[in-house]
Amino acid sequence: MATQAPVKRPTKLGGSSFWTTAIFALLILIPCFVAFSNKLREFILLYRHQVDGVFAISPIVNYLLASLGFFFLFWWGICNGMFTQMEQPKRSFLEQEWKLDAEQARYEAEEAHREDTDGPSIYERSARMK
Amino acid sequence: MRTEPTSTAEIPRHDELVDERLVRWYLISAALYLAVAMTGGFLMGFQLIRYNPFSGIELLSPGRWRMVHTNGVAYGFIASAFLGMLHWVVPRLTLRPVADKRLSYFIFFAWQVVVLGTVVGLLMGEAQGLEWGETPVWIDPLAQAGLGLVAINFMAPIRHLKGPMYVTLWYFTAAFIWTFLTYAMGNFIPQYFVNGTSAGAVGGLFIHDLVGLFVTPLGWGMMYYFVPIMLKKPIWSHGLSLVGFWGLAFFYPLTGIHHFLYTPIPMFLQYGAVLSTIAVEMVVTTVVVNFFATIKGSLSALKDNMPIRWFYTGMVFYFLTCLQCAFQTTLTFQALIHFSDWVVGHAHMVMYGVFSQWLIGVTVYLLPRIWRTEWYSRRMLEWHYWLSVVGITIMAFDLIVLGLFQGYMWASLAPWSDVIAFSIPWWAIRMIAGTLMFASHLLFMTHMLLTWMKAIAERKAEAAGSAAVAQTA
Repeated sequence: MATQAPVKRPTKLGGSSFWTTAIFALLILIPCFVAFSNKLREFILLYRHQVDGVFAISPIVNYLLASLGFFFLFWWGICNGMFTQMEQPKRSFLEQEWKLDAEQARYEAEEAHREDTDGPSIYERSARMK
Repeated sequence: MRTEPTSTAEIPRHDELVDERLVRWYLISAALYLAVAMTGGFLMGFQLIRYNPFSGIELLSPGRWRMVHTNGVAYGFIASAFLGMLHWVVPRLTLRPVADKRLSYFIFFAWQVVVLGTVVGLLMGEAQGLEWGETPVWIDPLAQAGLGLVAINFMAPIRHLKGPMYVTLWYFTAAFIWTFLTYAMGNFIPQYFVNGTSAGAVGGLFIHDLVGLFVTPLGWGMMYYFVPIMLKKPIWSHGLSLVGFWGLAFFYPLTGIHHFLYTPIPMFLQYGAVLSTIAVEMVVTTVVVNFFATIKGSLSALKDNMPIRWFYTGMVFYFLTCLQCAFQTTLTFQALIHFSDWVVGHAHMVMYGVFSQWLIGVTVYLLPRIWRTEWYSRRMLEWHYWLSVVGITIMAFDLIVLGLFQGYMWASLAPWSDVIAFSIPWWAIRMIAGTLMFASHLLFMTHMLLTWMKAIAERKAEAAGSAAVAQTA
């Protein structure tokens, strides 16, 4: 089973990172909640007083469906530990990148050494030129 | 903080994961499509200064060239470059290849049919009446199926992941779903199911969601992948990057109606669009703060590392364009700049100043790696960068200022012909700026060709050397 990388150094969110994240989260979530509640209230008022206003349901339903989908995805992420050890993926991904490059460099060096001793076949040479 | 590589045991090889030939094909085709799209913009520029080189030829009329320009950039250049980038990034991040390499090649050829079919269809006058959705109606089902296959191909390795996921993969996962849904919403709902104001509302959502839910998540995901690799240090805050992702997810879908302020669409929807657009600016700020905090202490990379320079130039433009967006979406500001060249300047700053610069940066990084050589000439890289950046800066500034003049002239009830006469010198400056950008791209394509020839020469010399060593042994 593939994982993104072995968990090596679990880290906590540092002081400045934590507060920056928290402040931005609040700045985003509070207007979001206010705006959504306001829109819902106005939509209900519109629906009650104007029959023609029902056509507004199309964009509203679009938005509700999209938001609902992302709410479920968010919940799925929480349940599957996607937000634990929040800072760990940024390091494990870089380590994985370096490993991939190191492994490829080692493989290509071995291939080059083998060719120096055995010589590449015609097929290998033509394949390399493609 | 720098992290060092550890043991390479039990990790698949890069060449088992990434099909470099496909990445190369996508990047080269993207560059070719950008050349075609820029030719369209270049010809349209002549029309604006009252010199149409193809006057009287219906097939090459400016209105059709304009659609080739916009659709060529969106579906030819940006989509192709993103697909090439995805074939590199997703397998390396997940340590699994895409679902099926044969499917990847099928998608590549199918996408060429979609793009070329769109160009031919537009030149033949078969445009669909929706901005950015002008692709002929007979192309739409094919493009929709192609986007579905792209999602299946790339989601296959992602779905096997366990544990906390790097932010790039959050963005990419969302983009695969969003792009599929956005394309369907914009190309089928107004065409077949709704009309009037509802179709206008859906069209507004489509225009902006194509930027925010297709280009933006792929662009940001791409930056979160390449910037740490090139700076050799992790992103400043992964938590903050996730705030940016979820902010985008919840705010962006409603912003599109800000294209139709002062229309019969209910005001609460218009206010909602205004508010969510301003909120998106906060989301953008989290991303910009994160990237500039990451480069702190490594500023010399801006001078020495060409891809990093492209990326951060794009980020400066990104912040500016989103700040501009937060203002221009307000009702007061909109009354002044609507229908003016301000909007054109804004669009060029987003699509060329930001996403094209990021994708060019990725191309500058990936092609030498794939060809196993250095770029042919550092000087050509520098010229490419400076022509491009000076060009887009002049164009954006010129059109934005012109837009303000146009708005004030319309507000003072100046005759339309006076506004046009006033605009022509500004459009001439735009033409000069566009020429610089076009020249920069032609230079880049020449540079790509020279580097490719250099790589072939190096391979031949290497092969000849190996054969000589084997013979003497």
